[in-house]
Amino acid sequence: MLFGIWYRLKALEGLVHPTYGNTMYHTGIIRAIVETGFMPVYDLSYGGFTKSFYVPAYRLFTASVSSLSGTDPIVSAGLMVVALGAVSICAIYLLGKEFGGPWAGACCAILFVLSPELTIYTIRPFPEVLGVPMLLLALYFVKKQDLGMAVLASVLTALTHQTSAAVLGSVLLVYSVLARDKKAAVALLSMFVAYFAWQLYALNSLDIFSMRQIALKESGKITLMHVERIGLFALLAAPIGAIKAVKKRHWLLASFAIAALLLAKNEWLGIGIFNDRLFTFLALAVVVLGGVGLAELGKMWGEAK
Amino acid sequence: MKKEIIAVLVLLAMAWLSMPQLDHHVEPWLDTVVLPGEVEAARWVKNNVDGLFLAGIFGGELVMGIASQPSLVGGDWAANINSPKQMSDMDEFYKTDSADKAEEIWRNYNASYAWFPARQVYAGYGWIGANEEKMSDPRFEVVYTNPEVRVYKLSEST
Repeated sequence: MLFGIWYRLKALEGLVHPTYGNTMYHTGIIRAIVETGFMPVYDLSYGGFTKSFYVPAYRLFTASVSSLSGTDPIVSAGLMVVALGAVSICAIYLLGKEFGGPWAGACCAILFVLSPELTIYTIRPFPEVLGVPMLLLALYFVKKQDLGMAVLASVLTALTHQTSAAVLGSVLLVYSVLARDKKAAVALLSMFVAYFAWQLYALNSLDIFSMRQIALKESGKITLMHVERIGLFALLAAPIGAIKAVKKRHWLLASFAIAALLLAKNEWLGIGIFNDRLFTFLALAVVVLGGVGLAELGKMWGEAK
Repeated sequence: MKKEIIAVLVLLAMAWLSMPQLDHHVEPWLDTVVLPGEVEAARWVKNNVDGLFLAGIFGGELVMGIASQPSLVGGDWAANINSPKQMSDMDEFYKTDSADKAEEIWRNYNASYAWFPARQVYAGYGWIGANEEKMSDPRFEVVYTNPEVRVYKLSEST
């Protein structure tokens, strides 16, 4: 935890926070909310000609922190990286613990903070920093069979970050089918309704296929570098975690891995969009598998002695 | 207890071994790209002017982040059907040596200001050096300058 927090302090070191990933655009909307007290109707992007429809939770949350603390939105956004990084570490610990006990949770948390891919996507101030912990918490509450919290976390994920929501929705779909889990199906339905209610409110449309990123099939190729960025130890231990998931019938963990793999390699399904963005969530699934596998290795070593 | 201590030492060794790989991959993503003078200029924008900016993605998003003003490119391109065209026009605006072409693009979008930083710019089609010589044409005038950026507007007389 301390290492993860210390490493994320780098987001506060520059003259402004890191700018790759359209971070300043999100900060601009946050600033507009802080200064006017309202979500802007029109976006700042690409000329400001279109209505603002990006899901609002991260922006509203950071704007609230900025208003309450009296800090500039650039500083607040940087602080959110550190605070939500800590929440992510707690969330992955809780999820890992469900699949293999406290040591599995601790191993998942360590592999998370050592993963370059996951650090790249949680060290910059944009909606992923809230989307990742919300997705992990939603899965944790589904595993705990806490319907109320599972629905709340799923709805918040849907209203935080579209890519995280697509991943969570896919995991819940696969899990609902594999484990015939009605609570997961309810959580899935809730997030579906929440997202489209927001889009209908913001754009007066339910159409997602005419969006430029989807219509033009925005994508980055997954390369060996992406795989390397998951982290060596997570990659080495993940197969053991996968075997354990199957042997112990951890269907939620298996669903996470299957859905994340199919999404990252969605060209196998004839789609071919957002491969590199979705790969981050495959890295997250591999890290959880790796943490569970590493704890299992430790257990085997302990028993052998 | 001995087993727990060994386990903690193993995890610490893993962390130590992973650090070089972590830094190698993460450090480039922490780059702020924009120059200190640009941050100063964006603060000037916030306090003095508003309107649409002709800027690359990083300069435009800086203006969004500090001054909450829109830019022709930068941000989320999902909802704007013309976003690819805007990227190519912005790329052309920076590349062209023709003041006529620059003015045409400027007027097409009814833009208010143009952003010329002293670094390479990116408008969606690769990093390029902005051709600023055309901006010495009398149709354009500097409204803000520091050693790292100049902000132009169309001259009142045009």
